[in-house]
Amino acid sequence: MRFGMKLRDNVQELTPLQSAYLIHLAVKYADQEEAAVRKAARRRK
Amino acid sequence: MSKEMSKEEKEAALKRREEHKKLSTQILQGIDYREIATVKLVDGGEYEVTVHPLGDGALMRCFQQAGLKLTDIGEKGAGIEDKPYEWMQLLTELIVRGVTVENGERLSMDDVENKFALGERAKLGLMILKLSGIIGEQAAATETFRSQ
Repeated sequence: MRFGMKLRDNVQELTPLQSAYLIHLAVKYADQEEAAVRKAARRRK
Repeated sequence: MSKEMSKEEKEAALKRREEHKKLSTQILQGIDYREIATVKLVDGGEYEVTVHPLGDGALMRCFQQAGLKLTDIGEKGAGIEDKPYEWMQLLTELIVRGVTVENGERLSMDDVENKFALGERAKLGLMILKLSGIIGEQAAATETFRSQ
């Protein structure tokens, strides 16, 4: 709970610019992860 | 296709690199990022002030106090023409929270409402919104940003 509260406070301290960048990174790494999974599945076939 | 970059490409790359340098500083420093601006007061004097971006929480409070939603503001600050009172209120709230004077003191509501020359409130308010990444190219530029 305490960690959750702290996290919430820290998130409120992020500027929208930082939030936008974090979202951009999250999307980018999710795409890379998906591509790696697809590649591994292709190799297994 | 030649590997050599044309002069225009080189200039564009250098410009982009410069923009990214500033952008990376802004992202890494967050609300601790500072820029100096000058403000004209009704007494005719010009003063240096420090402007910094606001976090999501502070921005939310500014918008709430002004009776506006984040979605009311368009790309370049457009879409608020029909709400001039709320817009001025928002600018005041932003300046009170995002501008400090030489000894780190914040300005009061009265300072912003009565001592700023015409147009200065919008200038500083928009600067805070731009630095925070609400309007302007900064937020969109993260798309072109390299992760190194």
